[in-house]
Amino acid sequence: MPKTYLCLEDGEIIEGEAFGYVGASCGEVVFSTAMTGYCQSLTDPSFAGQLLVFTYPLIGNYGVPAPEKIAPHLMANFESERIWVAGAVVSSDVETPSHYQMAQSLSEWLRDHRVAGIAHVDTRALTQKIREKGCLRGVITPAKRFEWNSEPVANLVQKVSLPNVTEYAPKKPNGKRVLLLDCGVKHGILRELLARGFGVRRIPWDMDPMPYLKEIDGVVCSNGPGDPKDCKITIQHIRKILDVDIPFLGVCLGHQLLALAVGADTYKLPYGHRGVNQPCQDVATGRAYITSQNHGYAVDRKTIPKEYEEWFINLNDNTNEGLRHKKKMIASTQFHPEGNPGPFDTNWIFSLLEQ
Amino acid sequence: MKRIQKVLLLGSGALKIGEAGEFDYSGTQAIKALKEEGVQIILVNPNIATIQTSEGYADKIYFLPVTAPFVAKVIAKEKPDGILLSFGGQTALNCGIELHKTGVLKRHNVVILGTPIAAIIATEDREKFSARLHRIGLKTAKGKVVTSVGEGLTLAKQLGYPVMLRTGFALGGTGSGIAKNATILKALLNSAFSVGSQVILEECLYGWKEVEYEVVRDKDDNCITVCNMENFDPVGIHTGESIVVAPSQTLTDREYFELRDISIRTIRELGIVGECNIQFALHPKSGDWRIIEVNARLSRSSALASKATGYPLAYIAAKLALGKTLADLRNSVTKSTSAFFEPSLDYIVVKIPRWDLEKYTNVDLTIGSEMKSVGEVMAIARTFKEAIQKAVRASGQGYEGVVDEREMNQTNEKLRARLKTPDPRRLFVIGAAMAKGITVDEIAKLTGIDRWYLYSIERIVGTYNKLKTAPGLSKEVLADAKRQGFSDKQISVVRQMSEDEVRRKRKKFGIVPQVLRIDTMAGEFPAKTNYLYMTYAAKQSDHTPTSEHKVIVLGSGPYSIGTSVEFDWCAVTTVARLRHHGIKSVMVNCNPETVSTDYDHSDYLYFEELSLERVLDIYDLERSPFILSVGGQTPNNLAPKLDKLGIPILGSDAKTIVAAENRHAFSKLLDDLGIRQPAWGEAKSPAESLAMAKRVGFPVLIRPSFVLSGKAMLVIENEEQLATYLRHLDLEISKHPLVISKFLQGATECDFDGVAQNGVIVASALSEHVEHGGVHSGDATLVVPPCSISEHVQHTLLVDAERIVKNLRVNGPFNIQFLLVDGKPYVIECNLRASRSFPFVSKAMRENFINLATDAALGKSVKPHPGKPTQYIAVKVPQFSFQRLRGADPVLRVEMSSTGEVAAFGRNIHEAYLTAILSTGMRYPQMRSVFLSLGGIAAKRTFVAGAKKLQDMGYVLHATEGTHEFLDEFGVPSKKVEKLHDGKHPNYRDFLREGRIGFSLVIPERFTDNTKREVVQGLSDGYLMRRMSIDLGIPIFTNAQTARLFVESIASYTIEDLEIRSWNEYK
Repeated sequence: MPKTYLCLEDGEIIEGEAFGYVGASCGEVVFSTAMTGYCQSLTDPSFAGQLLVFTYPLIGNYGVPAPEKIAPHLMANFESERIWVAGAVVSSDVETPSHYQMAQSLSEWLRDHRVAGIAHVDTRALTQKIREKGCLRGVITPAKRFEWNSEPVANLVQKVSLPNVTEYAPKKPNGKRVLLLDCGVKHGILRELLARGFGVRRIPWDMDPMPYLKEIDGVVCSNGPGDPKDCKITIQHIRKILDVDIPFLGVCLGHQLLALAVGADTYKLPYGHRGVNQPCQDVATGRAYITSQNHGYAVDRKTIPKEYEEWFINLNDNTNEGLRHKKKMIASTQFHPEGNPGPFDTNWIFSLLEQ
Repeated sequence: MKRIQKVLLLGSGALKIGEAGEFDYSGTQAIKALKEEGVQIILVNPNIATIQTSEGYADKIYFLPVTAPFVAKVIAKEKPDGILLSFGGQTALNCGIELHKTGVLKRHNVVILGTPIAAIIATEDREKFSARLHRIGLKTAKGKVVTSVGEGLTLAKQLGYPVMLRTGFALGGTGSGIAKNATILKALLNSAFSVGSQVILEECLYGWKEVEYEVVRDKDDNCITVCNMENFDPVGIHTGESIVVAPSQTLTDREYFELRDISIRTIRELGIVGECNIQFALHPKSGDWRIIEVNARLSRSSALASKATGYPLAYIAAKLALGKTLADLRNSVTKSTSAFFEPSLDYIVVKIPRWDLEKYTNVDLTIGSEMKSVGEVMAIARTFKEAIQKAVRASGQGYEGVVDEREMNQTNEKLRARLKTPDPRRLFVIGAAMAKGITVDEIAKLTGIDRWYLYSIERIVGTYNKLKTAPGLSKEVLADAKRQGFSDKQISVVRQMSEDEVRRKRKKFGIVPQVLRIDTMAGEFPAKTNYLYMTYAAKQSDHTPTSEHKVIVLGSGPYSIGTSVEFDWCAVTTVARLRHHGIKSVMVNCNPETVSTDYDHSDYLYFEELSLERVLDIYDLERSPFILSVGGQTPNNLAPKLDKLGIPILGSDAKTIVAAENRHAFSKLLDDLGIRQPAWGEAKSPAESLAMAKRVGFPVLIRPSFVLSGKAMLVIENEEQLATYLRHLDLEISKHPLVISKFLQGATECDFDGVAQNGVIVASALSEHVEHGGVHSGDATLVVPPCSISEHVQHTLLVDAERIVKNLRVNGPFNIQFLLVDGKPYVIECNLRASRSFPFVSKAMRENFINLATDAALGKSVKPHPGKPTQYIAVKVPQFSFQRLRGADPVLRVEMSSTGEVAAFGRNIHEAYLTAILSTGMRYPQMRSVFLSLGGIAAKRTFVAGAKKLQDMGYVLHATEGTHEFLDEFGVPSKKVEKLHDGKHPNYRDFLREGRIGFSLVIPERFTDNTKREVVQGLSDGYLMRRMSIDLGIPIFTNAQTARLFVESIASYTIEDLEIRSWNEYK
């Protein structure tokens, strides 16, 4: 395989072997500690514009299944309709997959989606560097130099949010309906909602939700990439939604946006939480859950307004993992209750919208 | 819940197939967890070689059988508040269930801590278990319990063949198997009903993927899965017989988390508090799944999972049993994050079982749904290829890697047959098959192994060929080979260079392994512990060696016949002693079933193979002296090699280690000192062999000077046998001469264990063997202090030992084996390392020989306590696992066949022996009826007194013809039992099947009765009688001396008479 390089903004140049698309690709270098679920991670819109380092050294083992579409713009086995990760960084070869559902290899899939990959990287050393120095920018390139030629994206959410409204019918004709603010929604969230019988109206991140509120029974604000403070318009919309007495659930970016909407603050974590083994505890009950996470920003615990309470905290570093209104059904989680990748121990949270 | 201040902990007893050292790990972690909570711990475990039964762990230790009658008495005496059942394997669990069912626990108000008894019972009774899981929509294998052969055959017809057999209440699946037709099923059912009353017949899931989850739940219903593991081998091969990887490699995210979710639903439904292991079958083509089994206790798999992830499952389970929750506890590796989390690995772990089937006679050599392996190794790396190749070497069976030329000398047809019917060498058969052009697809079909694994092996084979054909050993080729786990040694053989040349070249290229840390979080958080492994698939190291005062201690490697938990005790004790002196320890071992591989015992733990290459890699970094004398023969063998390189070794000089082990040098030393030894010589041809045998005189002990995995040592009685032996010997004796020595019949054997400093003995212990010479010391019953050796003779032995030790300038532990013939000692062996009996004599004498040996090696002044026990006797008894080894002849020979040991104390030899033998699981005779077949005149004579005693005790004696007539002459009446060939009834088969006997006593006539299967033609009556006794679960003795001791013991004591005294009470 041809040589390629991961060039970091601090000057480090890491040699490796190219796989997938052979070309240049730049992004913020982040790592995920999930041991499975590379198909889900690579299609997760929250990873848009990032170079994803897999800490698990054997990636691609079960190949990639054929895409399975179950509704318009909704996949059964991926988290979106395309690969969003800008580039993949792995420790060893990826070329000997085996699984009955496999349609192609990881390398072929990345190649088809023009996403660069670099193998034979000491991903542990790289992870430790990110842990110590924080996330940094990098380029996967055969050219062996750091050259940031990514077109500046003002707002990553803009890039990943579906530009038009999509309707998903409820299971029963008179079933409940949910309005989904799509900031780059993982399809797992949609599938969880549909599995509970909800009808879903999926609208772009910046579309005014107010005209729809009368016809719906709840609002979900999805996950998405980047800094929540870039989504000023969505924050304003959420404020308006909260003025109406309607159940609201935020997930990941949606959680941060809710926090900003009600007056709390967010900050950038040094290297984020990306993995499927993050322990979160329900502050009120003491019950603990293993959760799937992918975020680089967090809600500042000290800024939570008094009509809200901290719902979950992270048992590893005590960061905030959820918010809840003390009286109304307005809630949000920093983690992903839908798993994909990872555990779905908390998917009951979607059922809260049924009440 | 009442406040728990005193807890009774049940151990698992001796190491046996299906229950090995993993329960020393779990018990030791539990003790640590309980001690932190200020709980007083009472331990019942007769396994004297364990760490948990050492000073400084439990508050009180009872070396007693882990059975309800004994434990009930301990409860009555100690009045504990609670009892822990899940740390001592199936033995402890079964005992706990019986204590519950008989009302003992309730009567004494003892709370079962952790998983409630109802949950345990539910997992043990398959029908209840299936019913409960079906209720919550979970699938178990279709099938049900049958209680008779007829019922089984009917059910099998309904299910359709093949069907799978399993037994409830069993360790490692005795009586399990796959029946392809009614004939096989009938045989399996008969065998299964010999051990239990319930057999489960279920749909055959052969060929499905086998996946396991280790699940933890606390009292507040918080659940995590700490690890999942995937078997390389499909369902149908017992997980203890399978190569296992962690985490799973071929499961998609959905499959992984679906099974995880089912695991959590299962543990919640059952209400387990603590840890359990759940085994799944996953269909490779549809994703359909079944729950195969739940073990509501710590298990071999949980030990593996703990070592694989760094998550101390047993420690956590003990805390949860005391009522803590997961969120209360911290991650022991990072110390900064929560124990409520699921470890993320950034490496792969491969476990390979270790078998020793070659050591048995007549044993079935295939592997399947019954466990036969005696140990295992684990290897850690960042690719599967590197990990599996490391594991292959670590297993210590003479293979350098997955590709081995020796397996290529067979036809493709033979290879195909062996792919279809696996044996312990299946991995090498796969490698050979690929090298010889059999495709991955065909191998996948024949073996049921997922292609992902096979592709990796194919790559290894490809790299092997590249190594072979490359014009030169370039940096790229070498680096690639090292990343795929090839050893310098294998590369050197392929490239026809020396191992040292490869090493030097590699280092010149800068190709060196990196040291990585297991941190449970894949680098997300830093680890505070030094749990380390080495890999070539990394470019920088996590570990910077320090210049502290350190000593590198090598552990034992995998458990095998001859290497058991006793060497782990020695290694762990050494490390503790180093710490006592403020010296840092670096532990190297690769056996996941040990305490020494718990990262909190040593300052630095390298979970690594014990090869010269790896040990040198570690030395290159740590630059510290070695202790090689506490891990058994594997590390000891490295002494001359390390010494040659000028690497410092603490303790006896490497040259003297060699001098003691080199037959010629040692023999000359004995001659020079005027110390007796059996006459011996070497022979390089059949003619020389005969001449030598005649010179020393028959019977002779014969062994090849070069052996792989300890084969082919035996006693030969005459020329004819010698001729047969030579005909069948698969070895060029011109290159590897035979060692032929005089076999001394009827000799008393003893082990002289000691510690010396600069050639002066500072402490010693003499153990007398109950069995006469000719039984391997590892299979012998040892008595301390000796009962029948006079003070005068003991003194003679001491003087001989002193002279040997002085001459070799021994500095550390040593062991000398003596034979006594008419009071005259003969030396048969001397090793300058800690022996198997070190923990036994240390505990029996109340003198820690390892502490003394460590002090001696460190050059500290050694201060032993004077004197030896006078008020009690300690007896060590071997544990055999013949029931697991289908077909194996349960006889004692010059080659070792036991898998473990127990020991007990008593006021006299009879009390101690009876307690010890009952601790091996033997039942006190339930009926006053005995079956006798004494081969040879010597055995008959030895046992006459015993037979009389049995008669006096009211036993009815049933004897085969010769024995019957012999007893008649001595006026001991017996009932005659026919042998098979006469066609008369009742023959012994009828008689044994009827099972109305307390025990049987079948002594082989000749030593060669028990030699290798190629030597003995056909199946003798003796073999059939012994094997039937084993298969029917009848207690059996095959040695006249132990039989006599047993009869004397039951003549003196009933179970009720045996005293319940803790170790402290024997002073």
